Amino acid sequence: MAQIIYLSVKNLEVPIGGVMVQAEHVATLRRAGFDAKVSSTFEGGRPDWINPDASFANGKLLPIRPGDTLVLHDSLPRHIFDRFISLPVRRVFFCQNHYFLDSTLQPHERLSDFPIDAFLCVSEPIAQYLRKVHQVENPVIVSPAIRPAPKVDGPKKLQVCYMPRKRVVEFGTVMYGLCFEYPELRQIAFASIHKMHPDKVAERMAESAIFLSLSTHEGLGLPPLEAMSAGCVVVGYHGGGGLDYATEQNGRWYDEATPDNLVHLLGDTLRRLRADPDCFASMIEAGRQTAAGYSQSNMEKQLLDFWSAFC
Amino acid sequence: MIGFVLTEEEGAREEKLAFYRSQIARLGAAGVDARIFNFTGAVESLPEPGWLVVFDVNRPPALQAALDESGHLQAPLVWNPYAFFGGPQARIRKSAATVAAVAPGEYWRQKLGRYHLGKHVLGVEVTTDFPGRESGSRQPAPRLVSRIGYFPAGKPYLAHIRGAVTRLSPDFVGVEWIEMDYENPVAWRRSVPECDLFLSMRGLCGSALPLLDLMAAGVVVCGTHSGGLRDVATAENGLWVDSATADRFVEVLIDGLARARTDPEWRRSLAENARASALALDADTTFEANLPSWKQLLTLAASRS
Repeated sequence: MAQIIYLSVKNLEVPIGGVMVQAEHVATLRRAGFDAKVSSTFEGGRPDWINPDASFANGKLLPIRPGDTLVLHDSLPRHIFDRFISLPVRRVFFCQNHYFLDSTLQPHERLSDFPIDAFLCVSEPIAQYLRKVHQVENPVIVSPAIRPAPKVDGPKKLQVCYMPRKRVVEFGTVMYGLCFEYPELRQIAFASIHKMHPDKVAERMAESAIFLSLSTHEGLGLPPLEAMSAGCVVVGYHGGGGLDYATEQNGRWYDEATPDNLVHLLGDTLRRLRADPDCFASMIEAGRQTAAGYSQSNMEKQLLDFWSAFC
Repeated sequence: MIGFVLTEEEGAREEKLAFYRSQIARLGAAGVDARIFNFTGAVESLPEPGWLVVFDVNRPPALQAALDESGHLQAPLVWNPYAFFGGPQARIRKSAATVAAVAPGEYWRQKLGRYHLGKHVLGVEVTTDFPGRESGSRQPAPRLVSRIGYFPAGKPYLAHIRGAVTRLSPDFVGVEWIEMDYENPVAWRRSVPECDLFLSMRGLCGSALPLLDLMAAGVVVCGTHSGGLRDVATAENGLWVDSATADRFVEVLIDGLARARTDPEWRRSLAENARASALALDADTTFEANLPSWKQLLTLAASRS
């Protein structure tokens, strides 16, 4: 049987959302009888944060044969992209972040110029970009599944969970701004999910009333979705790709050039929640409904429809 | 006496140097002795005792240690208020040698005034002398946009914008993109006249001397106000983008390039307004407002000595 090889990144020291999504694809495909695997040259062995059902191969040892399908990703260094483009195999391009593509491509190049047999992506903003900018005719969206949120007894804590990695300066501005411009909120805890195992992330989101979204230039952005699923009020940046799901009804979204007014958006949210813990009930419910669309069953159907037709 | 202290390795060194130079010349004319000191790592490279020392609050640890050892009175400049986090805040609160904090402009003076620093917060306009002030207001008809300048930082998103613009607007495939770095003053000065438009991915900041320098030269800037130009950026003096994602940059840049091609009068107007906006903020214009802050610093220092 021909292999479906999801090429992955080399550094898997810390959990990476895009790699988790690749692993979910592979696990689903294997359950459906495909010979799929994630391939990485990471030397630390199989990370414990990817789906255990996903086959994980050492990219240096994995033989690639004619008839196999390579699933390229959007962050391939150019020399590796060129090498895989020249192999006598079938190719699928799986784009999880379109903002990274121009690190590989020259400005005059389009993805449709290359011998790529099909395009997968994770969101409508990426699909639009591929159609409009790269003249890709039929990009197929496979929306990732988010993990079911754990149930938490009792009311949520009035605390802000956040992942600061991509907007450290903005986070500092918001945290100190809140502290000094809203002194009555000075005791509000900020709970980081940085580098946490996904199980711990889910627990922290479940106990937090607010998720401060610090997304930037995302293909989709899973943490805000997971936070919506966990019943958080999401406040912050949609990061571009988050427009796949961000609406006025399901979050307090922000896209200004500086974080100056984000301080006030968060301060206002906290004040209102403190006065009335149910004041965002309809927004939270809308968020839960939005997140429910990113289910395992939907992902599996979209994925298997694609691969069944492709193979 | 005010000593502006710089280190070799600190960020935005040329910007700070340009600002300090512009203030020193005018402070001297106002009877205040002020100089720049390059801190080499040795206490001897600091000003003599008795000088008030101004330096970036996010200074290298070696400078702070030397200042503590020397016993100078200090007025840290919060050069980038967006990067003014807990450590430097605590230092200002606890430091008996700190007479005041200096903020870049009135907006940040008011904001940092609420940070309970336990010290005075004084505001100064961060600006400099822009070359070409006397070259006249009406510029010749601008040439076609053939060169777009950009900063070295923010390259991944810049590549995305450049790629999208190139693919979506075949008319601009031939545009040359030139990297420009204010921290390399000779190369910067050489490249400004060659630049028809500047795409700025400048990060959050309290001031924006390179952008003002470009505007003063009549270069149209496309970018966010970054915080540093919050009171300057208008639809009449640049292609400003109020968004945190690159997609809006692409739209604004494509529209701007297309209109510049068909409407040279609009482009000339943008450039003239940019120039006027920048010159209204140059050191000549703003020093009168800065001088009371510098004098207040000296008064505060004198009351300690």
